[in-house]
Amino acid sequence: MNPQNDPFVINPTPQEPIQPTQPPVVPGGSAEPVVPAPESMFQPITPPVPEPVQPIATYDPGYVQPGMPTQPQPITNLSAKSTKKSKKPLIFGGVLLFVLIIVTVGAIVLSGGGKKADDNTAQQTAAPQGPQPAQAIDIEQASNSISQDVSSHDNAKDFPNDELDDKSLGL
Amino acid sequence: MKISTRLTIGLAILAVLSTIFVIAPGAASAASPPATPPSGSTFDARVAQRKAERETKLDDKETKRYVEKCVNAQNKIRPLYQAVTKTIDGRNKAYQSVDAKLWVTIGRLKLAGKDTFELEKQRTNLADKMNDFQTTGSNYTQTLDDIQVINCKADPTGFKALLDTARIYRQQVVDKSTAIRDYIVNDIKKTLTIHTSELQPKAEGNN
Repeated sequence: MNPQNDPFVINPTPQEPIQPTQPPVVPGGSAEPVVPAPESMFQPITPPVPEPVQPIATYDPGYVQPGMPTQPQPITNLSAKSTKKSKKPLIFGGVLLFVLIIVTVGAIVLSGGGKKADDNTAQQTAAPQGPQPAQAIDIEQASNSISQDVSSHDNAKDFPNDELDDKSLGL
Repeated sequence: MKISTRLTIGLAILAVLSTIFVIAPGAASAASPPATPPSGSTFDARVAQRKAERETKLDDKETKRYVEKCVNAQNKIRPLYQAVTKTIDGRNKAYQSVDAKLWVTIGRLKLAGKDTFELEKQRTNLADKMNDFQTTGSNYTQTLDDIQVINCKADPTGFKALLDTARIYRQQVVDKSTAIRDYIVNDIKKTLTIHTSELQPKAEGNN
């Protein structure tokens, strides 16, 4: 197919840029042009476009023959523009999804934190605020507790009088 | 019997009694009380200190007896050392618990607007007694440990000096523990009882 007659070719008119793609003379080879595989051409831009562009078998803007000067191709710029246009909905959707996730997570965290805050408030309300002034029962309990601390101390049992005697030690 | 003879006999009896009750106790207390060894002291330094404090001297008969039987005594002191260490640690913890409860009680009495001067003074005295007991207990266990370590067959005099020191410390531990308990029961609890009575809700006025 001739690219210049193809209505789906975005920029078929310029004659000059085609010049670098003229088949080079391959020493000892055939005269047919070296054409890249069709699978490598315009693949990235096809999905978002409603009308898929037919791959151009005879023209590869990204292909540069070794030793030949590279020239900017208008078709490349147009492809980039269309790619940008096609990516906009994706980017917008991604951002929207991200915002939704953030809002959802924030709502969950806030609702959980609120419960914890309520629990803390309840605990603080129930717990006494530091030491309270002594009442009679408090002092009595402290006195009894102190008695218990020393009530088990039995010197006669813990330190027998004869534990270091010569007789006890077999001396 | 003549009066002069009776007088002479009476003076002789008086002299004998004075010898028994005055000179003998003085001879018994010639050795100085055991002192706390300097911090970080070595085993040899402690043994030398105990020998000097106790002025230990063994005759041939005693030396032979200690050389023959001291190792058996060391084996019996090993479990005693473990039991004593555990007991003294337990008492120190109990005293610290009492001290903490007194701190809390004093603070709450102050919040209630009560005069805590007496109780604070008693708590300070108790803390001093606790520290004294802790030091004595530490010296006691250290001496028991030294008794296990010493080569008693080579140094029976040192072994005897350490054993005498441990006996003194054991009695001091018992006395100081008893004093602390008496102080808590007779003084501190008495003050707490007074505060309890003061804080009792007063009855409504009589009609």
